[in-house]
Amino acid sequence: MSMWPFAKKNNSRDVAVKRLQTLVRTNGESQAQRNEHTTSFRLEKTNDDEINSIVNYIKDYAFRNLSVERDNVKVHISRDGEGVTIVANIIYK
Amino acid sequence: MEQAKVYVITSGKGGVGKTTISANIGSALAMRGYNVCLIDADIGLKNLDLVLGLENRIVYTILDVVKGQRSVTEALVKHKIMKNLNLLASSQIANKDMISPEDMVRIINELSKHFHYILIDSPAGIERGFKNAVVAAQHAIIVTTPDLTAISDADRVIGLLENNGYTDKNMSLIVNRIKPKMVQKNEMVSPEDIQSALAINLMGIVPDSEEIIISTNQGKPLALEDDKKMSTIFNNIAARISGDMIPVGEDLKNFKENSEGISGFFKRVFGGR
Repeated sequence: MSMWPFAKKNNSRDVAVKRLQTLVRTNGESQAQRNEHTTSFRLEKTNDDEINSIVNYIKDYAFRNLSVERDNVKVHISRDGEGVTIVANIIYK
Repeated sequence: MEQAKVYVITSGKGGVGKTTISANIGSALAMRGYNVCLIDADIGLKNLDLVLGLENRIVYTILDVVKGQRSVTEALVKHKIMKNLNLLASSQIANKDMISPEDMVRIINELSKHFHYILIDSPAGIERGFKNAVVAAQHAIIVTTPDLTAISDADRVIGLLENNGYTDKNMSLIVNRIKPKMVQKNEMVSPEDIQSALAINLMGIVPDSEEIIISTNQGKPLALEDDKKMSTIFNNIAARISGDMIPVGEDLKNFKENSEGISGFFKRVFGGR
C-alpha cells in the first residue's frame, strides 16, 4: 500500500472502469460492432425442417471457415416449450 | 392526434431513480405543451403518484381498467397544475401477475389516441412487471447510477431488451446521481465511462442533488420551478426526446462550479441554492 494516504482513493475510478469492462457483455462495443462478427440467423419456425437447415448451416460454416470436416461438427438440439437450444461441438483432430 | 410515442423507463436494479426521472421528464414534456400520460407499471409498489403529489386523488387504478370495471380514460388522474399531464396509477393491492403483457398493449393502444407521449415507469427486476412495461414501448430509457451493481444490472436489462427486439437505435441511457466533483477528482466513474461500457446513447446526466429530495417531499416536480438548476436538466432531456439537439455536456454545465468545501459553504450561505 502506498504511503500517500490519498493514492488509493484517487485510483478508485480506474479500478471501477477495469471491473466494469469485465462485468458488462459488450466490453464497450456497440451493438453494430458486435453484429459484425456475429452470424445472424433468424429462426421463424421451430419445425424439424427449419432446425435441420440450421444444423446444416452450422456444419457448412465450420467446413468453410474453420476447415473442419462436416462429420466432426456435432450439433445437439434440445427443446423447451417454444424455445430451442442448439449447441455445436467442433472436434479438431 | 397522431399515435403517441411510448417510452419505458427501466433499470434492472431498484432505487436508482426511475420513478423520480419518469415524473420529472413527464412534467418537463408537459411544460413544453405536449399531452403526456405517465403509467405506473410498478404494480403493488406504487410510487409515481407520491412523486407527483397526486396520492390523494387516485380513485381508479390500472387494475380497474384490466378488470374492465373502468375505461382507461376514466382511470386517469390529471395533475393539479399541469392539466396536460395525466397519471394512470398503479394498484397497491394487486400483484404483477394480475396484469399481462397483452393487457398493457391494449391499454397503451387506447391511450395512444389521446397523448403525444406515454411514459411507462417500469418496476425494478426482470420478471413479469418488467415484461409488462417493455412490451408496448417503442423506446427504452435505461436509468443507472454510477455504481457497479447498478451498471451491471443495466447491462443485463439491455441484453433482455435486445432479446425483445430493442436495438441501440431505440435504447438510451440516463446516468443518475452523478457527483461531478468526485468525477473531476477521478474517484467516480464518469457518465462517458458508463456509456462506453454499456454502448448505448447517453440521453442525460442527472447529478446527485438535494433539490430532488425536496421536490419529492413536496410532491412538486422540478419542471414547475424555473429557478432550480435541476429543472434545466430535465428540460434538456425533454427537449432531446422531442427532437431538439442539445449536447449532453450541457446537463452538468451549472454543476461544474465548486459546490462543496469552504467556498461551497460560503456560496450556500451568501448565494442561496
